[in-house]
This record gives sequence, structure tokens and C-alpha cells, in this order.
Amino acid sequence: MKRIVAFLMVAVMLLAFGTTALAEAKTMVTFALWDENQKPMFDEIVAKFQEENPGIEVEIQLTPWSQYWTKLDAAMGAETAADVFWMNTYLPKYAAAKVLEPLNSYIEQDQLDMDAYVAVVRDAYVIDGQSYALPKGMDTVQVFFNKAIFEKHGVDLPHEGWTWDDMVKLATQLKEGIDKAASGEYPIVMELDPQPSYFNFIPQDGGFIINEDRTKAGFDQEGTVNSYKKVLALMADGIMPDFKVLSDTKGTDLFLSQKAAILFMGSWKAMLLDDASFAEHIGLVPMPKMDNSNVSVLGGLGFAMNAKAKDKEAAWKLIKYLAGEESNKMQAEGKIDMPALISAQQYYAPNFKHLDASVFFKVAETGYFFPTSQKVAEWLPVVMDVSTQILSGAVSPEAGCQMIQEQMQAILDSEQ
Amino acid sequence: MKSRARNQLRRGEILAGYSMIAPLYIGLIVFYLFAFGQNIYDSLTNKSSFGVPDFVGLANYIKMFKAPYFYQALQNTLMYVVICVPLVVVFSVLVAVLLNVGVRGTGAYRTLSFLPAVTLPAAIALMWKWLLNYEFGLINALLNAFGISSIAWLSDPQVVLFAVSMVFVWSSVSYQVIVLLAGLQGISSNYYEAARIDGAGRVQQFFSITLPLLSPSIFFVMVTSIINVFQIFDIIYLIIPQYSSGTAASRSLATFFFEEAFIKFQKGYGAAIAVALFVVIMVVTLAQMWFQKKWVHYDE
Repeated sequence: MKRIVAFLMVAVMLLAFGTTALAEAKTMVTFALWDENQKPMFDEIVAKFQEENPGIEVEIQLTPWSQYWTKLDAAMGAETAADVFWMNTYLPKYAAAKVLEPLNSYIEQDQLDMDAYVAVVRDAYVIDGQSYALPKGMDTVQVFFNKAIFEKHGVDLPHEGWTWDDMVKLATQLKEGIDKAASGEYPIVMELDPQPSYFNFIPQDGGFIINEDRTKAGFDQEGTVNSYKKVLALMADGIMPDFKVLSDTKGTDLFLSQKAAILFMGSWKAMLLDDASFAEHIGLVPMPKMDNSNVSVLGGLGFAMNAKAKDKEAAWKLIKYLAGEESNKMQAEGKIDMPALISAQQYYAPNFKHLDASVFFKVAETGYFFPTSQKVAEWLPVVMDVSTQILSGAVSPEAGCQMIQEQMQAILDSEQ
Repeated sequence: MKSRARNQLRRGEILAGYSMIAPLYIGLIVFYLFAFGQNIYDSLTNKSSFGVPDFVGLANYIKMFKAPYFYQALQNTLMYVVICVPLVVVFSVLVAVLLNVGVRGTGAYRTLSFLPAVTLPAAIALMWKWLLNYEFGLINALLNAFGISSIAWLSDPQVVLFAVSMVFVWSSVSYQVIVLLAGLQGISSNYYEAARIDGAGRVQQFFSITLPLLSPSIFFVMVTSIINVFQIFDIIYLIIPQYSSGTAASRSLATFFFEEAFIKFQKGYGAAIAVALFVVIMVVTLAQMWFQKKWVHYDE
């Protein structure tokens, strides 16, 4: 008996040695992401990558959003972080901490054409001329409208090139019709988090959130204050529900239950809207122009490399593949992301049965990237907190913007 | 010789005892005591995302005592305690006494009343979030039916604290009822018999026998409720919508800690807030330990 056990032990040990020896022949690259909905697609993309690069084995590490950054930070300290990972608006913080591998030399070495990407998204990951990530996809913000409600009340449809005043006029006409018919719809709804609402209006009205050098906050600008006033005016005029309604129920949900005519929303909800029972009545149009422009915020993420990646050439190969044509095509056809790679955008539009996806790409051309800086995680909550107080009427736009300006500027000053 | 053998036996017993509590104690030491010490140390550093934190002395505490948000969170937390604890105690005593009456179907009632305690907090919060919704909520629909206009339970800064308290009380009464039921069943029926012979009514029995003899259990319920309310977090986090205008008015110390440490990544500062919360809870609990001598009766 003992002898059999000993024999088995030796056999097991030999097997173990054998497999480690086999594994060592391959390079292991770890790849971290946070969205479990996108993981199956990345499993496929990675499988394809491995087929083309038999020497490299990729391990996907899924960490839910709520723990992603905490874990990444801790792992950076312990030098166990993934070699390649998703990176978003927090990029400047990680670049400043020198934990991201600068990618310029790799891009030059492979003569990668960076003009193939939407310029705003490409530039979003460049700091002081150095690229720190390749773009994955992007989100745009635009206006969705329910044609059926407009037609029911005999109001003209919004059209490209419209202004904020045009919108107010249309919404006022809608309100008259709605009041007369007592049909209970809201002319305009928004979700009052920064990306689909005031982060667009601030530059549209001539203000700014943060300047180009990321050293000055723009909440002391007249345009910034005015943009909040314009949103509040919509509520005061009764053409947009007040904050209580919008804070409890998402604007998109009101729109989906056909209780709203105009919705300011990001492309990330487009699939959901396209599946609505009344989707053939949904129109899409770029945002109305305020005093200055109708630029809208572009969001998105990129693939970054750990400065301490074990095999940087292999990690770069993976990043290049993930940001390349095939991967973008798969993500676009799999409906998980809108490509920032211009040549792959053609694969995204056919996903929609009713919505006109060309509006997303049009909006992206004039978009500006979601404002950020090294300490964005500290000032963004301040901006959101006080903006909420402004939009709910707890403080005036002037006082609120001054509160934001003081706190945000102090945080920006502490960055250097 | 004999005493030596006894000593050995004693030593063996001690060893056996310690080895039995070891699994628990090792866990306590590693995950509580060590973490507690680490937290106090972190509160004296500028620990943030990565890099080696610098020792900054009391800077985090000074920052905290200067922050208006801290006082607002502290005030909100005290309001939660003032509102929730009496309600939890009164309701759980009432429910426990009612469940202790032997009527038909007691078992079913007991099971039903215990349901909130075995339901996931996330499920409870999501359910209440919809019940309390301004536009589509059942509660506002009910109010409207009685001609009362809708209340923005989760967005109106003046109401939101009460809405959270209501959900907290609803979700925590049931566990305390179990504790009190056990206490009630420990009261000997002799007392009630004697009281009945002496002509005491139901109400007098409740105040003269049930309450005093239940006081150790009530004391336990009070102490644990107060600690739970001081640490109130999950309900706020789950039922207050993101970007709600009720965020500031509902923010507790634990929520404040979470925001600073895990959203703004200021972990040193967050640690200081956690220490402050600990001190507040400790002071209140010690005060209760001292006051209990005045009102808790231990049945000898």
C-alpha cells in the first residue's frame, strides 16, 4: 500500500513538473477589465489573439467596477497588477505616478497610424506628448426625441442645427398641447449627472470645467454660471420636470415609458432605446446650440500597459490587437462598444433596427473629452455634489459655482 | 506528587481551552485587532492610492474638524440614532409581546415577522426604493388616494432622513424580536399567575412584570441597535439614487467615510473618520453600560 502511494506521489510530481515546463514555454500576459457583460466578448477576442500569437497566453482578470480601482492601486503597490488593463478618466493620476508604460516608442516602432482613431479620443490619452493608452471605444451625448408625441400635439420635429431657444420654443408648444390634452407627458427630460447634462452645457455656453493645462477650474466663468441657469429655467417654465422627479426616476425610464418627448442622453443607452416598443418613432439629433456651440462630451476608455509588465513586447502585442481592426469589429458587431477606430464604425451602425447611428459619429467629430486631471477623483465628487444642490434649488447658481470654484481650485493647486 | 499531577491536569485543561477558542481568536486578532491598529496608524498618514504614505501627524483630524461635511454627517448620524433606536425598541417589544401570545397560527406570524431579517439588505433596499419612488411609488399613490400630494421621499432634503430611518426600522425590528421573544420565554409563568391572583390586569402585568423582567433583553437590543444605527450605510447607499438632492441630507458618518476613502481615494483621511466614528460609539456604549444599573433588572 505504502509503495503504491509513494509511486503515485512521484507520478503526480512528475506531472506537475511537466506542466510547469510546458507553461514556461509560453509568455503569460494578464489583462484586467471591470465589465462582466463585456467579458464573454473579450474571451473571444483573446482566443483569436492567442491563435495568431501561439507564444502568448492571456489571462483575463475580471474585477467588478466597485473594487476595480482599489484593487488596481493595491496591486500596483504589491507589483501584482495586471500587465494590460482598462483605463478611463483616471488616467492622468496613474500616468503621473509613473505606473503606466509610455507607448510612443512602441507606436513609432510599429508605425501605428494614430490618425485612424477619432482625434478627440486619441488625444485624451496623451499627456505632454506621450501616449499612455490606445482607445477602446467611445460614448457620445445627443438628443433623442419621440416623434409620436410631437406629431400628436402638432409640433415641428427638432432638426439639426437647432438652438437652445428653438428647443425652448418647441417644448413650450408641446407643453400647451400636453396641457390641453391632459396627456401628462413631459416636454424635456435629462439625467442630471455630469456626462449627459451640464458637462455639455458649460462649454456650450462659453464656460469651461477645467482649462487645457488642467491647472484652473472654470466655475468662476460667466458662461458656466449661465448654463446652470438655463437648465433651471427649463424647470421653472414647467417644460422639464423638477429635480424631485428627475432624481428619483431616470430620464431614460421616463422616455421609455413614453412620458417624455425630448431626452438628453448618451449613446450607452442607445441599444436599450432601440429595443423599445415604439423605437420606430425615436429620432436622433445633435444637441441644440447654446450661446457658444453645441459641443458634447465624449467618454470612453483605453487599454494601458503596466510600467512593470513582465513581458512588455507581448503586452504591447495584445494592446495593439485589442485596439485593432478585428477586435473593434467584434466589439462593434457584438454591440458592446462604439469604435473609436474610424474604419470599424461601419460595423456598429447596422446593430440598430431603428435609430440613426450616424448621429453618434457626427457628434463625435466635434466632441471634447470628459474633463480630467490627476486628482479628478477628488474634485469630480465636489462638482457633482454642489451641482446637485444647484439643480435642486438648494443653493443659487452663483453661490454654488463659487463653492465649486474654491474647492476645485484648491485641489488642482495641490496637484503640483 | 498529587499536586503536581493536578497542576499537569490543570495545564492540560488550559491548553485545551485555548486551543478551542484559538480559531475564533486568531481571526479576531488578524482581522479586527490588527486591522484596528493599522487603521489608527493609517489615520496619521496621507495614505492614498499608491506609493509609500507619509506620516502627517494629526493633519487628517484637523482637516476633519474643519470640514462642514463632517459635522453635517455627525448631525445626521445622531438624528438617525434619535429617530431609529426608540422606534426599533418600542416596535420590537410590541411585536415580541404580541407574538408571545399563544393564538392560532403563531408559528406563521413568527416566520413572517422574521422574513426581513433573512432577506438580503440589497433586496430590501431595492424594494423600498420603488415603493418610495416619487413618480411611480406605491406609497405616493396611496397618499394621493387620500388627497395628500406626493412626497419626494428620496430627494427632498427635509424628508430623506426619515425615509431612510423608516426603512432601517422596518428591516431591523425583526431580528431584535427574536432576541426579545427568547427573553419573554425565559420569564417564569409563576409571576403572571401570582399577579392574576392579586387582581392585576393585562396592562399592569405588562408594565410591572414583563417590562422589568425583559429589561436585560431590552438593554441588549438597545446597545446593538445603537451600534447598528451609528454604522448605518447600506440602506443609504442603496436607496438614495445617485445624484439625488437628498444625498447631503442623508449622509451618515459611515457614508462620509466611504466617499472619502473609496471614491476620493483619501484613505488616510477616511481612516481618521472611522476612528472618530469608533470614539463616538465607544463613548455612547460606555455611557449605556453605566446607566443600565439604574434600570436593568437581572433576575437572580
